[in-house]
Amino acid sequence: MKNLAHILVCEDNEAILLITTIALESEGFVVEKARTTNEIFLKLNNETKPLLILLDLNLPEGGGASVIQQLRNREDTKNIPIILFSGEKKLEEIAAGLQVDGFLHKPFDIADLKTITQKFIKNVF
Amino acid sequence: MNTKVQEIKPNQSTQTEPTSTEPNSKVLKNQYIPTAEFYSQVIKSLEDYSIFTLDNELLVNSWSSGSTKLFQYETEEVIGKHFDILFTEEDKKNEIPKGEIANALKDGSAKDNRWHIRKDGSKFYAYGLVYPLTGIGGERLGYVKIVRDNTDKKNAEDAIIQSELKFRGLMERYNDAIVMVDKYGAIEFVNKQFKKFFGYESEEIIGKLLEELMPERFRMKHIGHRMQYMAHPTARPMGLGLELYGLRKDGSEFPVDISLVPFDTNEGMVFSAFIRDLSDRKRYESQQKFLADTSIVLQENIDFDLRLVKMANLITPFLADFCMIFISENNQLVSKVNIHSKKLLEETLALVAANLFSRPEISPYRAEGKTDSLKPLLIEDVSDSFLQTLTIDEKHLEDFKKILPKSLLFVPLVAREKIIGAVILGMSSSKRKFSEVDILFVRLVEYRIALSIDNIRLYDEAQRAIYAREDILSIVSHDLRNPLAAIKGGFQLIPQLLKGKNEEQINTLVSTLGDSATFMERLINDLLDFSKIHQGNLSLQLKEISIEKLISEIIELSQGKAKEKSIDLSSTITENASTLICDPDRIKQVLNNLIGNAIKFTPENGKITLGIQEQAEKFYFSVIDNGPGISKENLLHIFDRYWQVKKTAHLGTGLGLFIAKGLVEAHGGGMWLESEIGKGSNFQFEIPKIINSK
Repeated sequence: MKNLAHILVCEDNEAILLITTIALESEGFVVEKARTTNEIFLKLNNETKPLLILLDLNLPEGGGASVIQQLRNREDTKNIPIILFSGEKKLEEIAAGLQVDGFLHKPFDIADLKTITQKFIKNVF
Repeated sequence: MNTKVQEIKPNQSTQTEPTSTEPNSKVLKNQYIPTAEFYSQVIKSLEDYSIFTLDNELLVNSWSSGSTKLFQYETEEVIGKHFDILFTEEDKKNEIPKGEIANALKDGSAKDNRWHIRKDGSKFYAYGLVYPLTGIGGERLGYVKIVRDNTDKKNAEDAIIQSELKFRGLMERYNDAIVMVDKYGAIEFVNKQFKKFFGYESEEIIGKLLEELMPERFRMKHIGHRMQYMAHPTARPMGLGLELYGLRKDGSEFPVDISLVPFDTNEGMVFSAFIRDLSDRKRYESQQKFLADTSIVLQENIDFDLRLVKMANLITPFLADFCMIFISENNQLVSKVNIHSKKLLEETLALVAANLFSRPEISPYRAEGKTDSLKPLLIEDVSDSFLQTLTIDEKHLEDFKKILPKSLLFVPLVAREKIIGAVILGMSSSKRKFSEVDILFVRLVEYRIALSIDNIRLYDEAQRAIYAREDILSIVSHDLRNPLAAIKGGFQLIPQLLKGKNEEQINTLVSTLGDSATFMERLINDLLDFSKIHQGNLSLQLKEISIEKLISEIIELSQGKAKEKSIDLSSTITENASTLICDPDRIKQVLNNLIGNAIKFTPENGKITLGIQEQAEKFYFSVIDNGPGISKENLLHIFDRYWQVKKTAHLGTGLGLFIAKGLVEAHGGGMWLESEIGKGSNFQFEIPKIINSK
């Protein structure tokens, strides 16, 4: 076990959630899954806080932007890096306007997913 | 007695003492006392006069040479004849000869002008004078008649009368109204055209002041003008550069142009006013201006409804006292604009308009027995009973009466042979009335409005189509990214998973990727269907199928998903329903979509019922759930092309209902929805038994 870092993946598409989970678990991360915004906050109430949040921009029940705002307003989550992933053409522009740390364009390569994840986890340690 | 008369006969040569007739008269110096011979010669010399005498039986007994010249009878032909041979047959019949004699006896003499007859039967007009002849003892000797040919004078007089008749005829037929006034301004003569323009009979206006023909506000001033003009009369147009108006008997006014011409007559100065009706020209001018104004409004780049308001404001009061504009929306005429020249009545007008056309059986065309509803309908004089046929209830009728509709014009707005709206024009307080003449012009206006509305609609439709296509493309291409991302990533993971021999994970992944591929397929099919429906070239594969089989297949297909949420999915079919002709794949697609939606939105332990009824000419389908229902606001958009209830799971293109509706419509049917928040939804559609497929 390389580390016990938790990553929270917020995605309503089951297939993407699955491949992201497989990819990240193979890197030794513990993957927490949230399919709606409500689930995100349920997971964040757990004792172990994630070291990174992968967030789909168009989540049901609220959507990405308001989730980011809430996360940034919470003492226990305001410093957790957030990576936005979406199929939006203008994702870079959108990400620049939100308090996020990175973005990943769909469809993405598994290698890119691993790279960007490692980058933020390393920064933490 | 006879001898006495003979004495004055011109052909008598007997000489008598001239003094014997007047024994007491005094002879003046240089006075000649004429003899009978003298008189005889004098009479002979009066060649232009016929002088003859009659005896008491009215037989001619002397005949002058002038008589022969005038009447062509020789002396021997006429002596002893009754003098009535000299009269016309008509006069003889009327006993004019006897009458003349009687008058002469009564008054001492008789004179007249009449036609006489020559020997050859020709006529001449003559002045005649008859005296009775009395002897010295007072006895009646007979009569003398003197006749002078007056034909030339008669002709001259006739010529004058003819010329006056011609002149009068000219006056009567003149296109302008002609009014002759005396120097005091009293009307002496009016021509026919005047009666037409002003509505008076001549006897009603002759003797009245000229100012009677003008609106009150001009009268005092005009009397002053007239006095001044009478003092210095010259032919000239009146009120140069001024707007002049005539006042009709009925009180209405019309624009006029007046020329005054003075005439000097035996009876003093008279004046003729030549009055031209300028209504037509003025109307033409103002109509041209109105059309120019409408063009500007209709071309303005402003909101559709605002254009209608501006149009209505142009129409009122130029064309009508009030104007209501209706536009066809979803096959119903919806009240858009209501303008009344009396602004206070606008609210009432709106109330009236809101209820007009609200029931299809109430139609002004039907009320008037007219079938061609593409043409304007003129109600020149609105009666209570007509209003009654137009209104839905007592209150509506009362409201309608409040705006005092005296005259109404219904104008359908027609574009490409379809009614796209209607304009109702009305006259209320003003004295105006619609007539056939107005229809022509109103149609011109109607055509412009309809064209403009149609253009706006076509443009909007084209714009919407473009936006829709762009939107769909962007939504679908965006939605394709998720399954594509999953498939792409999934394949990249497979080698790694194979290495780790993680069979369970591989199986899960493969099945998930399969779902993603299926989802992509569905998106692409939706896109294709959408494009076919959008372009109107969806083709159907019609087949006869068993309704029972169709329903059991549909239920079977969705039962799994329903059970996952413990939803009770059931069906009801009317007993008689057996077979159905349709494109079975498409109808299944519609039902799957509706049931899929119902399952998606109905909470656990809910209930969904699929119903089919066979009716006389169609099959009726319903999918009823007891889910959360749909708000009124969302109901309006539910069938829109790319609309999705916001903030719900992004589970498809949002084209589902649009496609379902399009598929039903391709079958010649229709789809609609009844729903209320908290009371579930009822999606319904029907398809006809006989389908006219493309």
